[in-house]
Parts: sequence; C-alpha cells; structure tokens
Amino acid sequence: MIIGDVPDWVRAVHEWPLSVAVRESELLFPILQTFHIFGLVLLVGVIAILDLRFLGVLLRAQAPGPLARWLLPISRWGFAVVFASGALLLAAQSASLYFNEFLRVKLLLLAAALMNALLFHTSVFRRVHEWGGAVPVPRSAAAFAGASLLFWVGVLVTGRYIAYF
Amino acid sequence: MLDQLAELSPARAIADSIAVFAGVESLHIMFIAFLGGCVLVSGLAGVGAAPRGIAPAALLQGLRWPYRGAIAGAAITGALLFATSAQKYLSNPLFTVKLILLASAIAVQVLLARSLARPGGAGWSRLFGIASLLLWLGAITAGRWIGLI
Repeated sequence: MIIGDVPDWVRAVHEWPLSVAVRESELLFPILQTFHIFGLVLLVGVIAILDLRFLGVLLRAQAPGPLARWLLPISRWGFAVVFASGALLLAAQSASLYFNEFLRVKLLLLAAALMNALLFHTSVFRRVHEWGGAVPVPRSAAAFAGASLLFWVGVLVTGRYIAYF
Repeated sequence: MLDQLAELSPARAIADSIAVFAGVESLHIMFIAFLGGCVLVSGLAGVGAAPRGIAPAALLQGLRWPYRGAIAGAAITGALLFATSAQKYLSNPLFTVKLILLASAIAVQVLLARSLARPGGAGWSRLFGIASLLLWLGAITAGRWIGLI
C-alpha cells in the first residue's frame, strides 16, 4: 500500500528487490520482526541495567567500570541486530511508512539516544573506571543515563505505535 | 452537541482503544526488554561469562528485585492484553507453548540463583544458565509469533 505521493528515492527503496522479497515473504517478515525484538532486548535491556546503575538505582555494590566493559559490547551487538533487521523491515514498507509520524518521531528519538551515548562516551564516561566504592558516579553521568533511559523508552513506545497509525 | 456526538462515534472509540491497546503493548515490551536484560546478564553470569571484578552470585542477588518487578510488570500488562481476546489466545497453541516456556524459565531462574549462591555449584550454574537463556529465547519467539498464526 502506497499512501500519497512519496519521493522517488523512497519508491526506489520500496521497489528494491530485497524490499519486495521481505514484503512478499510470509516467513522473512516475521523472522525479521523476531530478530528485531531479540536485538531490542540485547540493546535496551542491557543499556537499561547500566543506566540504572549509573543512576544508583540498582547494583550499587557493583563498581560500574567492569559492568560497563562487560555489557557495552553486548549492547553494540544488540544494536547491530536491531539496526539490520529494522532497516530491512523499514525498506520493505518504506512507501507506506514514509508519512507515518510515529516513525519520524522514533527516528528522531533514536538519533537523540545515539547522540546522547556519543556525548556520554566522549566525555565524563572516560573516567568510569574511577567510580564505585567511595567515589560516587558524577551527576553529569547520571544525567546522561537518565536521558538515555528516556530516549530509549521513547524509541520503544513510538516504535510500537508505528504499526497502528 | 455535535462535538459530543463526534466523541461518541464508533470511529473515535476505536481510535482511542487502539491507542490504549498499543500503549499497554508498549509497556509490555518495555518490561520484556528489561526482563530480558536481567535474564541475559544472569544467564551469562551462570555460564561463567562474567568478567573478573563481577561476582555472579552478588549480581543475581542485586538483580533479584528488578527481575521480579519486570516479571510482575510483564505479567500484569500481558494479562490485560490477554483479557482483550481471551478466547482467541486460548485457542492458539503458541500461547500455551509460551506459557509453558515462561513457567519453565522462571523455575530455572530460581535454580540458577540457588546454584550460584552455593559453593561448588558451578557445573549446575552453567547448565541452568544455558537452559534459562534458551527458554527465554523460546518464550520471546513464541510471544512474537502468537499474533501471526
């Protein structure tokens, strides 16, 4: 279903053989959706634990440094899975989703989440190995963690609404 | 008067209920994502994949209440979604599969926490860790496909 007049490049993505294959396959589409959820758990579930640690909500006895070193690679794998599956699902429906406002807001929130992570990791996060025990997590790190949680929750919620509007 | 009529029109009612339904689904997915994070971290700690500097038993102890909270949240939102079309779900074999996998996964998580807290329980922890990860993977997969068959 193509709604309204979409730009040529969107139509080209929509008619791309892989998009057509995903769209018309009864198996490929739900398999990609399943992988999208696995990736989402790896990415958001793990990031949420880390963010809540920075906020001092859970695992307070655990120094954040080793936790971050362990969990961040997992979340990057999660991002790779969620991004690849999401890109294919989006390409397959690009013409019908082009005007979807929830998708647009989701992509903005996703960009905000990634920008927030980039800023965090190139600034105060560099001293993560010093935190824990007697050294509290700095407030700026907690602020980054709080923003991260809000952005990812926003991505999840708007993502769910895309299917309905 | 016409405004009120518009508020009462079936279209409006459906639109509203879709928004509410999708909202509950969003919450369900949020709880599952967080639950999945807790389970993944616990399972990896169980199989011995936690790095030095992280004590598996303390990790599971620390995640116990967040994990339980996520289970409760996912169960409550799941029950709300179930209530909207109970008959349809009950006649769906995947729904039964999902519930069995979930019950097993929750039981295995208890066994995993116990074996990690016991000295010399590393062999069992590895087994329960792998079982837990596989069962949750199955439960999430079954959950996704419930709506598709």
